[in-house]
Amino acid sequence: MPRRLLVADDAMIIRQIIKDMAVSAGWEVVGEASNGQEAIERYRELHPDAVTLDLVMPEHDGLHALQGIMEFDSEAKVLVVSALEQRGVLKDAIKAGASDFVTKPFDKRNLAATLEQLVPHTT
Amino acid sequence: MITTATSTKTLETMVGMGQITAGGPPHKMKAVVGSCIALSLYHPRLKRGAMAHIVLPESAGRDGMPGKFANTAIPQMLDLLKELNTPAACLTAKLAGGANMFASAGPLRIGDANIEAVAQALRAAGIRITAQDVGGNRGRRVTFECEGGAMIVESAGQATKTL
Amino acid sequence: MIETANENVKLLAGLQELFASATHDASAAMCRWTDGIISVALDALRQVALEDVAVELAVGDEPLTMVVMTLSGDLGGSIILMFDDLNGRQLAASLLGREAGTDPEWSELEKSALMETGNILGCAYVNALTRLVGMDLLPSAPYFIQDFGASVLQQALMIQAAAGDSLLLCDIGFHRQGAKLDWRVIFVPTPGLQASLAQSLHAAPQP
Repeated sequence: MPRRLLVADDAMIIRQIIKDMAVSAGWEVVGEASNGQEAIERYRELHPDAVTLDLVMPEHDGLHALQGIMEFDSEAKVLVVSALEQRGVLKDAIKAGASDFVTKPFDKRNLAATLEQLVPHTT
Repeated sequence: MITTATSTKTLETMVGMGQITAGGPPHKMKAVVGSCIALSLYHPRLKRGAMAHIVLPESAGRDGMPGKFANTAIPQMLDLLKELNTPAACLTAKLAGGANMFASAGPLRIGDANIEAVAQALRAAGIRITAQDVGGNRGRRVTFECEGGAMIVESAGQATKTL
Repeated sequence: MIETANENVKLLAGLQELFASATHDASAAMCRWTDGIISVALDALRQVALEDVAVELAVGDEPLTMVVMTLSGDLGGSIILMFDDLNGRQLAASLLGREAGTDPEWSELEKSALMETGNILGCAYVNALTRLVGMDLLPSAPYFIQDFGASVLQQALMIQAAAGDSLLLCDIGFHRQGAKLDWRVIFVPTPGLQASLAQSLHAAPQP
């Protein structure tokens, strides 16, 4: 049974890159979101095994999404994928429950490996 | 900077932020505006006019180029036109600009504030607005023609308007 | 007066070094994003008179393709990436690994490629400047705009224009494998951010 991934980023190109990488690594991409509120709603609807989550998004941002997701599921595996790497921002994200953090622009293999660590593939 | 064009050889002047230009035909005055306002005052019988590129609504006692603020630009335009023997009576106004190009960090929508401030300053000076193309979220390339007083407004991807 | 002018020259030189350092980080991010093909470098830190901005920056009066990010708050500003349409589409094409589009309308994926370039570049600057001023800077999501460059630049300049008639701008150029490209980034810091950066210069340890 493939692991199920939700991809949340306002940039279509990033969603495309992450989806392609995830499928190659054996994930099933079950949904996408382009803003924070949509990410919360899709998480509730889809119950994915993991989420990749951008921070800077229009309307409702990634921190809002992270808080909403963790309120719904305290065990959620959320990998923050963001071009912002300010110490304060990282602290807030970890405090809000992020499982890990990857900086954009990312190495696809590194992203795949980080997701693998969060939700190991079971044979 | 304030420029007065009296030579018939001067055809086009680019009016930069905070500048005012005055003159007569065949002079054309141009400006590219976003949140700024391109304001023209024109005397139809004498065929003389001035254009200001207004940046902010109110000087609030600050120093700066007279054309920069709505409340200082209009008195300065009137002074310039007076130097060209053009009285304030019979002057009419046209304006273009005051857009909100993107959601910016400032506390106010500066384009809207500029539109309101220019309208207020014109009312205070007793000058009637005969045409305007303001607001929205598109930039405008404006040409004011001293021959006839037309203000031609071009916006990317939209039909050209003649005010 | 001479002393003040000298101090101003020193301040500008210091700010130039700061922005050059931040640009170095931004360039590293651009290189990673474009697989080593594109880099950026600080062309100039310019102090420009308000009325001369459009002419000095040669933004012209033709429409450009732009990506804009804003930084909110007193320590803020705007970051504007500018391309002519052809160059913008070529960048999008190289990021997408395909030929440049020929439709008059940009596709959503092309726009996304350009906006994400703006996001990565803008956030790289934000990360570097945050380290310098010691406070988090808050970037917006990027905007894709096709319009007159001068119109967009005006709004970005408003906060500085409210404070005075002399504007400080960073003019940053793009390079592809050593050759200069006809793309640029203009970074417009607010007076508040300029002051914080100036303070960080004074706080820096003397060699």
